[in-house]
Parts: sequence; structure tokens; C-alpha cells
Amino acid sequence: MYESTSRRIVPFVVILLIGAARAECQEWKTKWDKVLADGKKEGKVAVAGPPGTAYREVMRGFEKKYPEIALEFQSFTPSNFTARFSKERQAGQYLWDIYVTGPTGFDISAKKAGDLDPIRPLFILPEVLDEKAWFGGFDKAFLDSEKKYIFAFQAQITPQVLINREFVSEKDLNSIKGLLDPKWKGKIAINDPRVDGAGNGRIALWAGQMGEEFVRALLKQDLTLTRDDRQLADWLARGKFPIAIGVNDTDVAELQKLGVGAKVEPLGGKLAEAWRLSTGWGAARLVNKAPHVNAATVYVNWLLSKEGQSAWATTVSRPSRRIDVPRVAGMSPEPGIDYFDIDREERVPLRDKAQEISKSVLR
Amino acid sequence: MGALSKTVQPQTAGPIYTGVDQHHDFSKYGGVHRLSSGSFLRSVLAVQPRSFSPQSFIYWLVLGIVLFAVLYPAGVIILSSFETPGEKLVSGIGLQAWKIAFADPAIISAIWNTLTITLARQAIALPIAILLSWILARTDVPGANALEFLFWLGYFLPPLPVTMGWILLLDPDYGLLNQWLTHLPFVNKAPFNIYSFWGIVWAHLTTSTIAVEVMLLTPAFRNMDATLEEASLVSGAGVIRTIKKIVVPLMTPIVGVVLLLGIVHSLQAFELELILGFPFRFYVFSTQIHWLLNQQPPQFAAATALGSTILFLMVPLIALQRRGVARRSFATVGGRYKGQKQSLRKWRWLIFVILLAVALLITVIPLLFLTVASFMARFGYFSVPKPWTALHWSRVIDDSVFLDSLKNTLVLAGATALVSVVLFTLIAYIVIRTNFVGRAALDMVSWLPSTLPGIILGLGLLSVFLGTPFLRSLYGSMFLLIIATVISSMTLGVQVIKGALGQLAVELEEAAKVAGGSGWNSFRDIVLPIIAPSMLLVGTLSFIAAARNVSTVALISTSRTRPLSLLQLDFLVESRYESAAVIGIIVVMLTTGVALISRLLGLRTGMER
Repeated sequence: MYESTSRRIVPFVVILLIGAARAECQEWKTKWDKVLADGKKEGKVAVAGPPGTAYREVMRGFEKKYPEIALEFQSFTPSNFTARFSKERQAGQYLWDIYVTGPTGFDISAKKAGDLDPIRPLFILPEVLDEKAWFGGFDKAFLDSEKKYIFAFQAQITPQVLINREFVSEKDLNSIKGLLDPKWKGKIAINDPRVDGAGNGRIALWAGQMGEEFVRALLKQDLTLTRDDRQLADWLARGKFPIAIGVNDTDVAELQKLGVGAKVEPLGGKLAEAWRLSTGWGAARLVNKAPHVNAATVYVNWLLSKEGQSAWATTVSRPSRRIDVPRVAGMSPEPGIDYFDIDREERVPLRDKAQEISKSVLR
Repeated sequence: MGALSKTVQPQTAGPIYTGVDQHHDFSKYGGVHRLSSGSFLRSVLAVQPRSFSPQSFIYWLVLGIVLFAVLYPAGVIILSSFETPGEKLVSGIGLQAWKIAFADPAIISAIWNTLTITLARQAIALPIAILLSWILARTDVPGANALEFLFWLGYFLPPLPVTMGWILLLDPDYGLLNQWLTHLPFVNKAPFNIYSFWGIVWAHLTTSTIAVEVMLLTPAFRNMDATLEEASLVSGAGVIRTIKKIVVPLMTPIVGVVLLLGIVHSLQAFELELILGFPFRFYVFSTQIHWLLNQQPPQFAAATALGSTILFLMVPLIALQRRGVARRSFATVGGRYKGQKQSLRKWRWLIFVILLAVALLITVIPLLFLTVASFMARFGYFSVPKPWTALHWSRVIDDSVFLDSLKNTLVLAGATALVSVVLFTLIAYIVIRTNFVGRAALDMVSWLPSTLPGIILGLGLLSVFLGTPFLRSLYGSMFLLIIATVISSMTLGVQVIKGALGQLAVELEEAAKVAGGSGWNSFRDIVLPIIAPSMLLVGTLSFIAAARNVSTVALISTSRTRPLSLLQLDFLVESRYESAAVIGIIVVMLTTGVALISRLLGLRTGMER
């Protein structure tokens, strides 16, 4: 009896599921076609993005794929964009659709002020919404606590400290804690941790994982400060300062390609306090009162698609959070490891604390 | 010498810098308006009892434009320093930003460092620049024009790659010069350290300070009447004493202006301090502003508070300078003008070699750094397997926005140069040659743009452009970029032309008028040819300033109006300094072309003619 019933039900369920899947497919397709048509009518999308030629080049892919939608892409440093955006808002000018940059203080203040709209509803393409396509899952890519405003599509593991083994042997120093040894006084350089950036991120991670005391003791090791990434990489490679905190690993990689700093390597092996997960400049937000919201939807779906993220990973040489695109050697996160992500909104107090400690110690 | 001094004292008692001297008949204007800084407000508020004329319309129009373009953004900046940041951009008014700006314990040492480094820079650069300019303009040193142009070239070079070059030579650990010197038997340790107070002073002197001062002073020296120096030398005073007793007093206004401009630029200098000062925690005022702008969220109000402080500090100095020059006439080009040069006799070639060495140090060596940087795989790494490459050039030229950026730069810099020459000549003429009631205001206000750091001025202009309905429709256009760069260049441009006009005795124009010429005719036939070299210099300076401007332009440009300087910024952010050097070279080439044309034109006119 049951057998005959199930024989009759199974095909029915299968048909229902196929129907639902088709309907769903039909649903996103219908939605996408409408957005695309409306986006083409709007004719352009205004995107503020990070400074750097590579980021600009990535966007060429969108122009090629959707020639009917003109991309007005402009590079800004975070402070320049914040200045311009706030003045424009004061004057009632709503000129931007999407803002792509790293996590900054702008996110918190803009969200509180209602200057951001949720970006999540813009995601339409199934490949964008695919849970399995993203490192750690789709939801984990949102940096904000509401999981709808700031989508971090770049996930890069960066070493906390790089060390030049030509000048410091493994026997002398092989752990992060070892940095507190007085013999390293005056031998460590750091990207200024008193302002937002690579140095501050490192100190914040240690403040969270190793405690405030460790951070204070480290900052008292007569650190040499710089705000110039290149200077820090040069110092490390030449051995002027054989230990560097917050150094840009791309700069070091460029030097190593030339045969300089061949023995520069991360300090601390695979330990949690030796690595951080970084968003870099790769996070997208939807600005509220966006003038071309349909074109912006097309743009965001392209950017987060396999095609857009492949372009990002290969042109910018920064790893995508998507796991189905080309990996960037030495920078893509390893599956199964729970990296400490300092860029999340809930970690903002930690970053603020790190800045406060740095300001008080490094006068 | 005392008697001699008396004979060469300026011949008029009238304050030529207010456009008044005893030879001029001002009765038709309703009396002499002798203005000093004290009468600044009165001059603005005074009701002028005179009939309408096309000239007065132009004067009022220029005053209106300048007041709007300068005072409005400056006012916005000062007001915004009293804004209290909150969730909705601004939550109130108060002194919180000022407290934040001055609460940092580092601010005291930053102020002290700024003052000492300014003093050191100017104390060294100004005497050297005066001497070099006098030699170039007033003596028969061989190759004076070519040498002078080398100093121009020195000023055109972008400071960052040049600073990197000095680091390469003078780093205490790996500096090439230090390494060579330590091979000497009596040298035990690196003698030079670029990361030091004197390292920063050295980098400033050799990147721009001396070059720009020579550039500004030489045309003024060229306009000096030779009879004054001849009298001194004939009386046996000697070269140095002649410079001290004759040349410097006569050049007081222009030297004062150059000194003031030098102080203003020293207060705003920050690129070198950031690279060279940070490693030994040497902070200056402008690095504090930079620091506030790099907080998250950026502390704009506190940064504008510090920016306004420079403005408030400079206003009394500007007033003092105006008062100083208002007491006497400094006209050196009169009806009996003699442009003959002093003979250096047997010292001629020795002085030429010394001058050449200085020019090499501040122009040729930095230019070499720049060129080498653009062709090295990584600047400073000579021992790598493949140190040389043309990759940076192809990266820049193949960049998809390069051609558009180049075109935008040419339009921006070219238009800025043209507008600047016309507007600044008008301003300077009104200030120096008329008794227009608002001339003191015009003079004072023309100083203000230079007292504000570029990014702070950019913030003010952004507010003005967005807050003014008729300008808002132009937001994002090249027109507004041109306005911004013209305003940025205003102080230097107006002062250079004022200096040239101040040296020109009124009797020359009077002679033209007596001969039946109209005001316009006397300006066109007498004044214009004499001040033409200075006008062309202003055109060149405005061109390079607009082509290099980043801080102001970055806030108001769009993807369609992006100039080369922002493409260069892209490379700098990526740490691709070699590619940035390529853009630096392209800008230098463009400016050199403009400078060569302007010099050819300038040398055909002016006092050399």
C-alpha cells in the first residue's frame, strides 16, 4: 500500500521540485532581465573605487560586457572620498552608486547616518548567491553586523611580521612572543599603528589574541615608524630593519622577483597570531539615494560573479573570497583554517583600542 | 659709504606699493589714499565718491571675483573648524575640533620643529639665492641665461623621486655616498644621515627652495638700474658691500615677498618631512594635519583648525610686509634706467664654475635621479641581475587613461596659465598703480590661498562649488578645476607681478600720457613690455603648479577631467615610484617646453631688450 502510494508520490514530488526550481530560475531570470533593461536605460553607473591603476583596469571587463552601461569609475583615497561624499550630501547632491574600498571608519559613520542602503537585495545572479562559492560561506563575507551593507569579496591572508633571515636566524627568533626580547630593540620597523592601516590592524589582532600587555611591551621596543609602504619593504630587504610589522607583501614579492630580500619570510609559522585575514581594498557598498540603482545592480552582480572576481584576482593580484576563481599564491586563505578577521564590525572596538594604546606609547 | 647711501636712496617718498608716489597727480581721484594694513577695513568699507568709469567697473569686478573666490572658501574653512562632528555629519558648533587639534602632545614639538626648520631653510636659502640671482642678472658671468634656466628646471622636478635619490646617496646604512666615504682611511662611520634635521633641510634646499628663490629674484634684479651699483662700486665699496648696502635695500619688497612665500611654503611642506622625518619621529605642523586627515573617520574639523592656524599666523606677517614696503618707493626702472651689467673681470670663470656646481647640485643631479629612477627595475637596486628596464615607460604610456589624462593636463595647466597671467596682472596693477579704494583688500586677500594647505583649500572650494547654485551646475567640469588651480597659484603670481610693477617708476607712464597716449596705450606700450618677463614667469609657474596639483584637484576632479597628477597618485599609492617618476618627467618636459617659449618671448621683451 505504502509502496504504491510512494510510487505515485515520488514522481509528483520530483515534478514539483523541478517546477519550483524552474520557477525560481524563471524568477531570477525575469528579475535580472528587467534590471538589465532598466540599467541600460539608466545608461551609466557611478563607482568610487580604490586608488591604483590595477583596480581601474579590472573595471574594463564590465565596460566590455555591458557596453550600453557607461562606467564612471573614479579612484579615491578613503579620506578624499569621505570629504567629497560628506560635502556633496550637505549640498543635496547624490552622485554615487557603489563605493568599493577597504573597511574604514566611513562604514560605521555612513551606516549610522543612513548614507548606506543594504547591498544584499542587489545580488540576483545564482552564481553570486551560491553559498559554496565563497570562502567560509556567503554570509561570512558581510563585514557589518547586520550582514547586509558591506560585502567583502577579497580575502587575503597576510603575515603579521616579516623577517629577513639573512640578518636574523631562526634560532635567534622564531615566534611572535620572541619579539619582546630586549635584543630586538631598535631593530623593528612598523607601519604607523596610530592611524588606520596595516600597522594598526596587526596591533589590533595581537591586542585581541595576546592581550594588551603584550602590545604595550612590543610598542616599547623602540620601534621605527613609517607611513610609506615602499620604505618599509626597502628597509626590510636591505636589512636596515630586519624585522617589519605591517609590511605590504606585494612590495616584498616585487623585490624578491628582482632577487632582493630572498630570505624574507613570515615570522611565527602557521600560528594564529602570525596571520590575519584581510579585506584589502575589496569590499562593496551601495550608497543610499543611488542615482542609477539598476545599473548598480548589474555592476555589483558582474563584480561578484566568477568572471568579475577572476579579473580581480588576476589583474590586481589579490585573492578573491570566491573559491572558484584563480588563487593567488601565498595570499589565498587555506580551507578549514579559521583566520582572525580584524576587519569585521564587531572588531572595531579592538582596532580603536589598538590605536589608543599606540598613541599613548608611541608619542 | 654713508654719503653714497644717501645718493642712492630711492628718489621718491611716496608709497609705491600702494600705487602712490609724489610724481603722480591724484587730485582727480579726490586725494591720496595712503594705505597700510591698519586701514585695511576702512578701505573696504569706505564709500568712494567718484563717478562710474569702465576702469572702476573692472576694478570692482576683479575685487568681487577675488573676494568671492578666496574669502568664501577661507570663511567656510574657518567656520568648519568650529563644527562638532556627529552622526549626521555636523551635530553642532563648538571648540571641540580645536581641542582635538591641540590636545595631541606632539603638536608642541611639531610647532617648534616647523619653526626651526623654516628658519634654517630660509636662513641658508635666501642669502644664497640673493647672491646667485644678483650674479645671474647683474654681472657678465658667462652663460647666465642657461644657468638661470637650470634653476627653473630644478624647480620643475617632482620632489619625491628626488628625495628618494638623496636617500640612496645619504642613508646612514646603505647610502652610496656614505659607503664610498667610509672607504677613506680617516672616516670610521657614515658621515651623513638623511634621516635627520639637517638631512631634511638639505633635501628641501636641493629640491626646490633655492631654485624657486633664484627663479623669483632674478627677474627683479634684472630690472635694477645699473647706475646705482656703478656709483657704489666706483666709490670703492666692493661687490659684497654693494650687494648689502645697495642691492638688498632696493630689493627689499621682492626679497620680503620671497621670504614670506618661503615661510608659507615651509609651513605647508610635508612630503619630505613624512618620508625623512617620520623614522626619527620628527613631526611638523603639516604632518599633524595629514595625521588628522588619516584618522578614521578623518578629523576634518580638527585639520581645518590647524590649517586656519597657519592662516591666522600669516596674516600679521603679511600685514607687516605690506607696511614695510608701503613706506618707501622701490622703483628702479625709471626714465634714466641703465641695464648695464657689472664686470666680474678675472673672477668671471671662477664664479661661473661655482654657479655651475650649484646648478648641478640642485638640478642636474636630481634630474639624473629622476631619469635613472624611470629606467630602473627598482630605483636604487643597481646590483640585481637586470637593473634596467623600459617597463615603467610602457606601463604609463599604455595605460588606458594616459592620453586623456595628458590632454586634461594640457587643458588644465594651459588655461590656468592664461587666466592666471591676465587676472594676476590685473590684480597687481590695481594694487600698485591705482588708488582704487579696495586695493589694500585685494592685496591682502591675494595672500590667503597660499596660507592654506592644499587639501584644506580643496575642502573649502568643494563647499563653495557645491554650495553656490550657479557653480553647482558646473560641478565636475574642467572649468571648476581651472578656477581651483588659479586660486592655488594666486599668491605667487600676484606677488611676482607686483614686484615687477613696483620696480617701474610711474614717470614712464606719465610720459606716455603727456605725449597724448591713453591709459591703455601707456600700459600696452610702456608697462606691458617691461613686465612681460614676469608675466611669462607667472604663466610658467601657474602651468607647473596646475600640472602638479594633487591635493586640491583630487577632491573635485571626475573620471572625465582626471589630469596626469592623479594618474601619478595612482602609481604612488601602489608604491610604483618608478612609474610615478615617468609622469614626473613628462610633466617636466611639458613645463620645460612652456618655460622655453616663455623665456624666449621674455628675453625678447623686458629690460633685456
